[in-house]
Amino acid sequence: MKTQNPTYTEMLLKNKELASGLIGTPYKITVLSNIVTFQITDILEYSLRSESIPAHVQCGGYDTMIQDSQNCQNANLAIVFWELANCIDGLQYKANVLSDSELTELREKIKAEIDLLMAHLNHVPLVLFNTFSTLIFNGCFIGNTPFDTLCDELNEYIKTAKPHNTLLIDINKVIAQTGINQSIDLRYYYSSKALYTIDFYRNYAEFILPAIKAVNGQTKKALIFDCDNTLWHGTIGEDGGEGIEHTAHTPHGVVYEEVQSLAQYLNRQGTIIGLCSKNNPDDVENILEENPDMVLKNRHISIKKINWLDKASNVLQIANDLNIGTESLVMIDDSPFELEYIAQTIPSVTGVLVPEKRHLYPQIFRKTMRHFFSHFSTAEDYSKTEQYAQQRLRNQVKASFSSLEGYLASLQLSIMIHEDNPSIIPRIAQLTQKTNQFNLTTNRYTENDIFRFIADPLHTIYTCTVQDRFGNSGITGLCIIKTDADKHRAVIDSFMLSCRVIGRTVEYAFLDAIVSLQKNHGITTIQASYRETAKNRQVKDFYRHCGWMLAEHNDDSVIYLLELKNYTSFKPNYIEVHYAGKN
Amino acid sequence: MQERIKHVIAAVFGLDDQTITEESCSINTIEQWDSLQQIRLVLALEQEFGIEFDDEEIPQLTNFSTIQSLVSDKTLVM
Repeated sequence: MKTQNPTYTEMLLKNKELASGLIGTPYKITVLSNIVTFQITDILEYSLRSESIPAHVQCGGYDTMIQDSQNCQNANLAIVFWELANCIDGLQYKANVLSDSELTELREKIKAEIDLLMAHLNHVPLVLFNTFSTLIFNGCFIGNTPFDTLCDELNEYIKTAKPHNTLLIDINKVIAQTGINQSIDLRYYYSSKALYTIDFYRNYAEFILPAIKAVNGQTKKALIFDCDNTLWHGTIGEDGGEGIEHTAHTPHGVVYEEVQSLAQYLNRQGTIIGLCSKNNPDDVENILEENPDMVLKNRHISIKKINWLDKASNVLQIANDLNIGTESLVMIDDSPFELEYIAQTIPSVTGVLVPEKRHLYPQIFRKTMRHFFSHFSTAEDYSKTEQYAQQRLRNQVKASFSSLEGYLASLQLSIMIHEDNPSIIPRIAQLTQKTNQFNLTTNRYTENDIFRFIADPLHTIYTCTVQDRFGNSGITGLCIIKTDADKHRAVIDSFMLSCRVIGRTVEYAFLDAIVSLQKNHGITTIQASYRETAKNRQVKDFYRHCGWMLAEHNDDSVIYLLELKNYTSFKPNYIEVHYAGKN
Repeated sequence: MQERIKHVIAAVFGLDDQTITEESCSINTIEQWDSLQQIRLVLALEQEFGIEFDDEEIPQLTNFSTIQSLVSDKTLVM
C-alpha cells in the first residue's frame, strides 16, 4: 500500500524494500532528457512497484537524448523530458531576442531532432512524450512572447508527428497540480540543469500511472453505483420518485447530474456501468424507465443488483455475471459502512466514498475516472454495454435448459475468423492488454508490436468474432502464431478469448480452425504453452483437454505439442466456422 | 537529530544506517556521493527537516559535521 504523500526519504527506503520482492518480468523504463532528471528514478520505481509493476527505471545521460534513444531496444517504456528552455542554453530568454530567421532555423532544427528521436523509439512499445511548456518561465506575462509562440508551434508539430506508440503527456497539468513554485528548484537549474522538485516528480509519477497500468493489464473495467445519495440526492424508498433530486434545476441535484454525465462519458469510452443498491427493484426501475431527466438510463447500465442482500455478495455476483475479476471493479457508495464491509470481504474491489461535502463529489469522481484510462477507444467499446445486456438474456435462456450442450446448440453459434487484419490493430492490442482470465500466456502487446507482427511474414494474427441468435460479440478471440523459417513448425505465442464469450465452447472451434489452417499450410508440429498468472487458472488444462501432448514442465510454464499427421477435429458440432481470409 | 541525518544519508546512498559514522561520512569516503547525487541528499534533508539551504551553503554540505551544524542552525531559527 502507498502512504499518502510520503517524503523522499520514505520513498527511497520503501523502494529499496519493494525491490527485494518484485515478481515477474522486469518492466524496463528509460527516461530520456536534455536536463538532469535522475531524481525521478526512485520515485517512479516506488510508485509503480507499489502497484505490483516490477519497474526498473534508468535515466539516459544529460543532454544525450538523441544518442540514448538509439539504445532503447529492450525498454518497455521510454519517457521523454524535453525541456524547451534548454534546447539551447538559456533559450527561455534568448528566444525573445533572436531574429525571425534565427528562430525559424532553431524551430526546424528541433523538429528534425524530434523526428529523429521518434524514429529511434519506433520499436519501443510505449513512449510518453511530455509536451513542451513555458509555464514556469512565464511570470504571469499577459502577452505571448516569442518563446511562448515557439512552444505552441512545437506542440502543434508533435501532435501531428507522433507515431502510434506515443502518448503526449500534458506536463502543464502536472505543474498546475503541484503549483509552479513547488514544481521547480531554480537553485539547481542554474547550477546543474536539474529543474524539477521531488513533489513534481511524485505528482508526475501519479499522473502517468494509469497509462502504465493500462499496458500492464490493470485498467478497471466496471463502475458500480449505489443509488440513494450516490446517483441522486434523497432516499427513493422514502422520498418517492418525485422527492429525489438529480438535475441541475434543484439545489441538491446539480452535483448528481454532473456525476451521472461523467459516468455516461466513461460508458461511451467502454466502461461498464452497474447498480448495486439496497432498494425495492421496482422503485429504481421506475426512475430509470420513466424519469426523462435522469442522464443515466437503462441502456447505459449493463448490470443491476437491486435487492436486500448484503452488498459484498452482490458485488461478487456482479463480477461473476460480467465474467471479470473483482480487481476490475470500482464501487461508489455514500455509506462508509457498506464500503468497509466490501473492503473487508473483497479487498481487491476499489471503493470510492461519496464525500459528505457534496460539492466535492464531482471532483472526487473525476479522480476516480483515472482508473478507467485506456489507450484505446474502439468501436468494440461503444457496443459493449449492449453486449453485456445480451449476455444477461443468454443467462436467462440458459437457466431454462437442462443440458449445457442443448443450451449451446440453441444459441445458433458461429464464429468468423480473420487473418492479419490491419484495420483492427487497436482492438488486437487492447485484447492482449485487457484479457486476464482466458489468456494462455498473458503476453501484453502495444499497437506498435501488433503492427510489426502483421508486417512480419513469419507471424500470423488470427482474430475471431462470435455470433449467436442474441447478437454479435465483436472481435473477442485472438491467436498469435509464429512459424519457423522452414515452415514445418509453428508456435502459438498468444491465445485468448474475451470474457464476454467465455462459456460458449467457442475456444475449441477457434483453436480447431487455427490447427486446420496450419495443416493446410504444411505445418507438421504446433507448440503451445500455458503460463500461469494469478488470474488464468481456468485455462490451465485447456491444451490437454484439446488432446495436445505435454512436452515440458518448466518453473513458469507448461509446453504442449500437437503432431498434425494424427490430428482429428474436436470442434463442437453446434458451432459453425467461417473463414474470412486475409485482409 | 544526528540519527535522523544518518538515516537520510543512508537512504539516499542506499546504505545501512549503522555504516554511517561521523568520521567516515563525507563525499570523499562514500563512493556513490558525487556532486550530482548531492542534489538528492540536499532535497531529502530539506524535506526531512523542513528547511532550505542557501546557494552558498550547498557546496559545503559534503561531510557529516557541516551537515549537522547547518541543519541545527536552521532548525533552531525555526
